[in-house]
Amino acid sequence: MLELKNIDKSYGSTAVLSDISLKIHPGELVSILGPSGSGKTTLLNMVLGLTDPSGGQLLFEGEDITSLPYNKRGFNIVFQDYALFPNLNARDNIHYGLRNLKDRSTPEEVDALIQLLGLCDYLDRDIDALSGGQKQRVALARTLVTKPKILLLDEPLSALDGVIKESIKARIRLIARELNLTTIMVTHDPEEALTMSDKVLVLNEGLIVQYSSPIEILNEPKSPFIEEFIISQLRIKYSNISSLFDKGETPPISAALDSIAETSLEETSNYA
Amino acid sequence: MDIVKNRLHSKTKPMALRLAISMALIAVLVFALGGLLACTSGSASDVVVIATNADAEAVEVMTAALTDAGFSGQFVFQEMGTAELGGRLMAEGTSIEADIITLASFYLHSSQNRDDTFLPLDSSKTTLDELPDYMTPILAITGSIFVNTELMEEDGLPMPTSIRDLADPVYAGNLAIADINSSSTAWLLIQAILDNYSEEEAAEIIQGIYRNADAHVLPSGSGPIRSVRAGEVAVGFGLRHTAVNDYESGMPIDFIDPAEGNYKLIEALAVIDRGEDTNPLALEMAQHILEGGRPKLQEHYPMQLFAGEEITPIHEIANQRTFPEPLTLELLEQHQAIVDGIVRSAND
Amino acid sequence: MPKGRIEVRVIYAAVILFFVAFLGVPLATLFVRAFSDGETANFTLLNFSQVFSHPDFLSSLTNSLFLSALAALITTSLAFVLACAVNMARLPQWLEKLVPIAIAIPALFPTITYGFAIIYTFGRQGLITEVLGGHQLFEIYGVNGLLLGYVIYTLPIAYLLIDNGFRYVDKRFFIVSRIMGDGGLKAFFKSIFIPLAGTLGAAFVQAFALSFADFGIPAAVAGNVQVLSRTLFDTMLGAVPSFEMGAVVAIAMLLPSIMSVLILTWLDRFNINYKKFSPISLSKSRFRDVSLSIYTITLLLLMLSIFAVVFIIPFVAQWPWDRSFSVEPIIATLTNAQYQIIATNSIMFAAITAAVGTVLTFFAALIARRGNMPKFFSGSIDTFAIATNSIPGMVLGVAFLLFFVDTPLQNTMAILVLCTLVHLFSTPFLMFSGAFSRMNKSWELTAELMGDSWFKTLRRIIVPNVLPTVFEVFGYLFIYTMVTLSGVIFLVSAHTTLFATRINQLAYFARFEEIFILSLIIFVLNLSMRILTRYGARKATARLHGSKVK
Repeated sequence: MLELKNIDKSYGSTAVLSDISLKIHPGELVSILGPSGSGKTTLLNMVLGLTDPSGGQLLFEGEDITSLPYNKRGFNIVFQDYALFPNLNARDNIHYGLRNLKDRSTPEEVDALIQLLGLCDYLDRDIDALSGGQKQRVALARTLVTKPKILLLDEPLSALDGVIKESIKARIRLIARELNLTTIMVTHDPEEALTMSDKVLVLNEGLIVQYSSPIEILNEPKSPFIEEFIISQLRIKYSNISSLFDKGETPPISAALDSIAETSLEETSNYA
Repeated sequence: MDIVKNRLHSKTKPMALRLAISMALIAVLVFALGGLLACTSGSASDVVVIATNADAEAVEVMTAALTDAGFSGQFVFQEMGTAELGGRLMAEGTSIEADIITLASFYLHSSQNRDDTFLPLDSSKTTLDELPDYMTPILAITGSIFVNTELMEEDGLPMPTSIRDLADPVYAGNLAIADINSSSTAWLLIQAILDNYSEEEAAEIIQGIYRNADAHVLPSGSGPIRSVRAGEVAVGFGLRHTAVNDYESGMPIDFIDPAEGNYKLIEALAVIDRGEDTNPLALEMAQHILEGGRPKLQEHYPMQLFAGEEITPIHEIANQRTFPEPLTLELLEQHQAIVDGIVRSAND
Repeated sequence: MPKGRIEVRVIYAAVILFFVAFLGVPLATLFVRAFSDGETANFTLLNFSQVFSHPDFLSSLTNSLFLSALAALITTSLAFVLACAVNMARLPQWLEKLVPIAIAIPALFPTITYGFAIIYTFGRQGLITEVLGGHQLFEIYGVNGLLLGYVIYTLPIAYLLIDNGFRYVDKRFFIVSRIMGDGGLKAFFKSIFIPLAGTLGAAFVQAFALSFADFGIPAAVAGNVQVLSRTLFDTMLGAVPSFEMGAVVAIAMLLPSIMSVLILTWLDRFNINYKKFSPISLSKSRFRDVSLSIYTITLLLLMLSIFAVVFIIPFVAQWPWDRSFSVEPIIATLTNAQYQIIATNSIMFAAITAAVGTVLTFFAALIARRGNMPKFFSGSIDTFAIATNSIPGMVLGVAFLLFFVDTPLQNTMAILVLCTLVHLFSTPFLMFSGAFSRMNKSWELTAELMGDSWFKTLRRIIVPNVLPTVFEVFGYLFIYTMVTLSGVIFLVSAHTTLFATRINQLAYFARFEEIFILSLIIFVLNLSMRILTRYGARKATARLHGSKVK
């Protein structure tokens, strides 16, 4: 379990994050949602270990990791622009981490992961020859073979569109569930956050607006900001939003996504 | 947490190791440079450096003499202009890079007088001119007028017979001379003018010559003959023997001994006295340059220096003259100042 | 000292140490010498008053300023029209391809070769003079020769700058301007000339600075026209050498160069960046295309014809009297023991400088661009890089001579390498900087999170991805080290004679045949290196993007 206790961050007199406290349970997929400048990237970097908090504590599995350097935390991240190595082909990118951490994944596990991400046909390709979606999946695979204790995703879908975006969405969700992987994802898109996550952390101007399940956020918004920032955006896109998110017992979105995932994996992999 | 630690500990290099690697990298850089330094200076110390103002032909002869004597690879020539080498010798004294110097005798003279620069040499040969024991002459040069006969005809120029003729505006843009500020050959010209004419006449002649030569006042004494040879100009004043050689080899070059007479400079060799650090090979080499090289040098620079030397008639000079005052660096500087003054006043 | 990675900190310290030791301290020595008298080392302004009151010095200074400015004006105009021809007219395909190749050729020769090539091309018995029936076009010694040499020397860089500027000019504005009813000339002025003004200014200043600092061209064709670089040479190594006076002349040479770089930095702001590459088909104009094609061909032909003698004279028995073909002069040179030593020196010098320089600029640029250092620290490296660019090679040489005299470094190859490293630092540094900036920002972090050490990432990721630039930089350094004269003229010794300094000696003795033979050898070596490194860079690029699926 990852626990943040009263985290503050300020640069000079400018507060970027104030009094952030929350818990993320093992296997949960949590989205950090907020407009630009809300402090969501700073928070992600802080969990990763790139940014030191000005005050407060980070606990992982009960240990204080506040001052533990990032390369000792055992977390890993997929950057927005993937940061793939163009001098290596897809396979060597995926295997990169195993050159240092040989026993992290068995060959069978790596094969399974490649299969799961639908990358079998692209392993020998150069990075330049991959599409955006393929790059995203290679980056995801490269990170996952090192079995991070927490997977961090920085705007994983921002560079994608259309069918490809839906397909990647589904895969991330599938993998997080399959590997029971604690996943934290930063996004500015309410739809992404609400349809993919177990829990959503809504940030505005460095403060937690609400931290709860997508259903709760839709049905019991704790602030007018939720209405302004999230619901109005969704309303424009889906005129029948109320039916999609009506007070059902299972989150209908997840169920719908799972079925999309099954069908579209094969279809979209040709484009993605 | 422990798991995290164990998993990562062995994979991340400790700080000290990383520091060591980066230090090693710097060290490689430093050693690369240091090694370079060592190998260049190490091998250099045994090699005798011979600094010379001589022409290519003379350097070739001296090289051959030393190679024949079995010194190949143990010496290196450093060719410089007369003024550049002279200037360095006066400025640096015995800390000059060279071990052996060949240079116009008056420079060696001035340096020895001031800094006690040179070792005494023992020579069995008798020189015609009396010279101090720390230098031994290797060759003598004399000046003359020479022309490119093809260009003379083409441009319809009259044949000059005296240095005074060279001041005639008819040669404007068609005359090459050496610069007295960098070449001792140029001094042969200036000596002839200053010795033969009154102050006013000399000023007029020098002015006329510099106006005619204009861009062809060349840094080196061998420059004028090359310009005449290459057809850049029709007339030049420079080293007599070069023109004679060209004439004999059938080039369209002719030479004229000026009515004012031919003046002479002696180029001599000396060995730098570095006390205990003197390279023992230097004295030996000096001997070999003289003994092995002098006959060939005399062939190229056909003037007698030692008793018993003979020359072919064409190189014999009817009107060999000597400047009344002894040739010293101070006299050269005086003459340089005179020429500079005349040229500048002409330009104003 | 910046916080952060120990590796970055150590490299930063090493780079700064390098600059302090081989740029800061020698320059400080230069100033101290200029302001002190030789014997007692007391402060004095006497050297300055003595140098500046000398009429020859003042005419030399004004000649340098005037001739460099005039040459820069001519160069910029010629280069601008050439860039217009390439970018705005429909030139024949072969011609368009030829321009970048031809324009790169002069840089393969030392500038001192230009001067002698001019003499043998336009002189009384020069090649072109003879083609024109023995009529000499113009007096080559002095002003004309200098201008011609300067223009050939600076035309390539001016053209490359302006051509690059053209890429960022949105030529659609020209069309818009025409549609709005402007005349052709007015439209051209408004939409092409004005946006390029900053670039043209930069080309002018660059050409000025190069000509101003050059020693090789005046060494050959200056005649009795004094320019500053000659005055500096004569003061340091002439009949009455004076280091104090030399230091003063060097400072006089340094100031205009520093001004030039300041102006260049300032002009950089005027570069309007449209970021739109728009190859635009202009209206058809046969007259324009034909006349600009003729212009381009004439200019290139003129530029290259000057170098024709370098390829002819070495193969002629004795120019101009005996013009039969002969390989004897070349064989005599190649088998001459002294030239074998000089060749070894030159090749070692160029190879070592290129190797060390590549490593040095690689690391300096790496930590400046990817070291995550605070701006002050990365900025300090940039400032040093700009500073090296503003110092003429001769001035640096004088500073080195003054500082390293009587140290073990004096008269060694190492001092030549060090001085040249500082002299040539800026361009390779900028090449690497550009390459590193274009790389993904997160590679090191990504790799480290997967267990890489900093050096492992360097070896596995950074170096392979920057390999094309490594080849380019090595080639650049090798070639420019091979042709540099101004930077090493005061530092060579009897044991470290180089091709370029040997040419300078030969120039003194007016031994042109050997000058052209050595120039030819330099050209062949440089051309081979250029081809080799281009090939390497292309291979390395192909390995990065080779199996791209279209």
